[in-house]
Amino acid sequence: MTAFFRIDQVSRAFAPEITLGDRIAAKLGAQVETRSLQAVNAVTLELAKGETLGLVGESGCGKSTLGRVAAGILPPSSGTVALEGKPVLINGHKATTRIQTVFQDPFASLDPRMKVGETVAEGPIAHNLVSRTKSGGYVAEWFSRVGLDPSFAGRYPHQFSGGQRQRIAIARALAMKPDLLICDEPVASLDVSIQAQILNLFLQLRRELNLTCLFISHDLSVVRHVSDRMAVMYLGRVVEEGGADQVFDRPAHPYTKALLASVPKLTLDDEALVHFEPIEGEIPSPLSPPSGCHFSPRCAFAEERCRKDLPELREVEDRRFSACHFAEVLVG
Amino acid sequence: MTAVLEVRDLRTEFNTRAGVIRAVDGVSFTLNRGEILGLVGESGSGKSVTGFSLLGLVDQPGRISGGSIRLNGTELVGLPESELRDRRGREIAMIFQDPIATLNPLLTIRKQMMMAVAAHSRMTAKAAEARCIEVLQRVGIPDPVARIKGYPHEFSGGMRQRVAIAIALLHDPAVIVADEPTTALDVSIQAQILHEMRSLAAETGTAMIWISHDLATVSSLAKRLLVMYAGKVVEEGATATVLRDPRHPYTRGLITSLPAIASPGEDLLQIPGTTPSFLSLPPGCPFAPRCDFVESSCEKMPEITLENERMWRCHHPLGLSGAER
Amino acid sequence: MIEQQSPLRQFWSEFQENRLAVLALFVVIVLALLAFFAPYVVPQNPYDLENLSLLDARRPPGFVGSGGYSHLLGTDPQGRDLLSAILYGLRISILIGLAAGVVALALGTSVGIAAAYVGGRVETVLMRIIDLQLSFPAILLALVLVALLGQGKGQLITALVAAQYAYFARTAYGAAKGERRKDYIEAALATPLSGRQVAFRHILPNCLPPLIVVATVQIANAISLEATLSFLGLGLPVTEPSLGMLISNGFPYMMSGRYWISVYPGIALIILIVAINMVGDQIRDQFNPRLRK
Repeated sequence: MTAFFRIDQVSRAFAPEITLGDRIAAKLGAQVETRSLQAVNAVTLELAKGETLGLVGESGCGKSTLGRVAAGILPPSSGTVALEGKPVLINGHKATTRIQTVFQDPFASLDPRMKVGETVAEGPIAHNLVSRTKSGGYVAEWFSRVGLDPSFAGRYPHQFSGGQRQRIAIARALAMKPDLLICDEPVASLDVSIQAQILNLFLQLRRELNLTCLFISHDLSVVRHVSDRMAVMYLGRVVEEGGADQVFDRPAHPYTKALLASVPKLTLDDEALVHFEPIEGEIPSPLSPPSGCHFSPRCAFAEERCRKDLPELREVEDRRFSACHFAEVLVG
Repeated sequence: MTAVLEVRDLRTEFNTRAGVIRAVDGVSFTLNRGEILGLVGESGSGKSVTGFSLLGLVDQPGRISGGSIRLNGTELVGLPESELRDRRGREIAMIFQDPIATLNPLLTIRKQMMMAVAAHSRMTAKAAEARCIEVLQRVGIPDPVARIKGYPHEFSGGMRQRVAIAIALLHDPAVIVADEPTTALDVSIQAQILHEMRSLAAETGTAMIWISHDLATVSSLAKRLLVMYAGKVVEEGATATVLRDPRHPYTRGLITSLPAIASPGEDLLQIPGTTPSFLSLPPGCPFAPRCDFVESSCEKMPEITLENERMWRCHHPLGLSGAER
Repeated sequence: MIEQQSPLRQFWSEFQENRLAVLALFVVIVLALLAFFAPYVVPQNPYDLENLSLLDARRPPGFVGSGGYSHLLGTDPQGRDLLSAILYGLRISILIGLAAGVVALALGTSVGIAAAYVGGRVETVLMRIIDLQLSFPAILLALVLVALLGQGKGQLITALVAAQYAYFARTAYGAAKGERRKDYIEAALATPLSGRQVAFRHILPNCLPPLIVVATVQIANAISLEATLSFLGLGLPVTEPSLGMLISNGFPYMMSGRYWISVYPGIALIILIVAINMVGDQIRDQFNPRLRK
């Protein structure tokens, strides 16, 4: 059976651009950076129709790069991305409009010199989803669906707040009638009260439209709230994947466990101020990841074997994957 | 407990083309030695301007238009800039959200710290350097003797923020104002810094004002909490008490907006509407247009209610006896 | 959000805050109007040789000549009324400056955006050519071209465009490169719009602010470049003197006390160029968010 959406063994490296000048400098003995940055390393993920997969990780883990590869914005260095078995990229060009993206920064994701109604209508008109003459009504329909007054369509982006802009960005993506929505940190730049509104809107639209969604965020509580399944990334690799509840309640990778422990929790008890056990050390540079398991230098459970053998992502339980040598011990 | 900082009815205004913005509108609080006070609010609540006002760092067209800030008994409002500058960094210091902007990329950490030492005290270069290494050690920078010779770009985001904290600590200030210091950092790094800040406050007796939009971060650090909305403190009290049993509907809305509180997939109890502009505030309670419990009395500005070491500013406080809403 | 005005109106209300810039804009408009309506404003058509009398040549300001009217700014060596000649000269200068500026803007912007959008080898080759040209003095290039192409308005404009389009290309390239990375371009590319449509509908409008600033400065530069070429005798035919040539015509008489022949056209040129640059400076300040209050 082919999955609805499948990211198969996708890797993406960013090679430093070596110009003529660099080459001459290298010939003359200068140190020129030639190592490439492995942002995403052999990641395989599957989404069933109507499912939301949450993708979490800290900065530099490659989650945004993976999101851009999945959306067809960036071509992968190797591997394939396919929607219902059909590749998303053909000859390095995006071959589908069935995948749309909602970006993190609603101030950069809308064309500042275009009326927001035009921004929403542009794609559907070009895609013949709606005729130019009927586009006004189509835009109005989407505006009210995302909770905006349809009369706002004639305004420019600078006249809206961040939350309203994000609603417009969601309307633009959904007006293309996508089969897969990729949300790249859609609420990270919003205030708490606005974030709640956008999350509610997302949940509501997902129910109404039976959306399939890849939801990328650094915020574990947000991901848990919206996801059916979730994947945790660390230094370009998926280290754990499984049902959202399982991953949260019984993490199968020490990194997930430590990450969950690092999140500050709302303290309702006067005495219990001491809560978290921080992870030791810094996130290593993706330019020179540690040998063996990438997390081993910071891992409380690491043994000799972890510093030598890179653990593969393997199925520990049914539909539950972990890239830790001791996953079974952790799950218990 | 001894109060190191007493703020009474602080007001900061910005005269803009479009009108007067009262970004801080009658803020009062007391900060005791070694205490960490959380200042929570969304963007545009005036929390950051409150922080800047405490250090006298409000730029034109803004100005402190009234109230009092007493630091160790000395009134700061109305003090000439030269005297403020003398106190800044020595008695009261600030940590910003973006450590990249606070460190000069062209100077070594050592040079920048030595300059900060020399700004307020005279000591030999050797003693000054020893002091710098001591504070770097204290904020958890590994191998400070070697790292102090490095440039800011050689440090990660978390390490840079630690350096910024170290600089703030150089003169053992009575008060540190921290404006969203961990917002730009990853969770695992944030956890490390929160951990260290807490022990710092306990060990050195430095009092802290921790400004943040994140209730969870503040609640894991501050024993007391101030919630700001549209330039006003709408609720104050012991953190756990306020979070368990909020009086002001805005505080409650902030808590129920957090996905961590709700069960997964359920709709969050959101606050409708958007943060109001300072230029078009309603005449009465500024939260009234977004409030579920609004009544005609809300057209008048609610007075401050003080009770059991708690404060709120609402006509219809939640969680009190009577009809439970 | 606070502002509900249209962007243009808001721009104008901010522009108005700088009194000097408003004055400069007023001066530019008045000069342009005077130049445009010169045939109706001035007493004489200085290009009609029938009207000229050598008896009236090199007369001081206020002289009443054979035409029966007072030459307010005096006359030039050919007996032209200097006021008329200056306004007619302004007309040519503004026309050529504007034409050269607009053509250079269109050409340079196309090259710059194409380079930024297509990328790869095309980008490298185009931008190296532009860089090479920018390292070469514009006046020298224009001189060589005019010498090769010969005299005439069309030739002059061609030379000016060739000397100036590189500035627009550089600016457009930089702006387009910056916009290209923004998310709204990615979002537009996720629709079935072609790359060219995205470049025209999204990238171009967002590159306009810096280009408008460069355009105002470059129009002023084109006018002064044209004046320079005419001063050197390489511009337009002697029968249709532009400001540069008027200055040049009066130059031999500077030392003999007949200062007005050179000085008045010079003042007109300076006022025009300074005013355009002041307007340009204000627009630049308003577009630059760093300088915003």
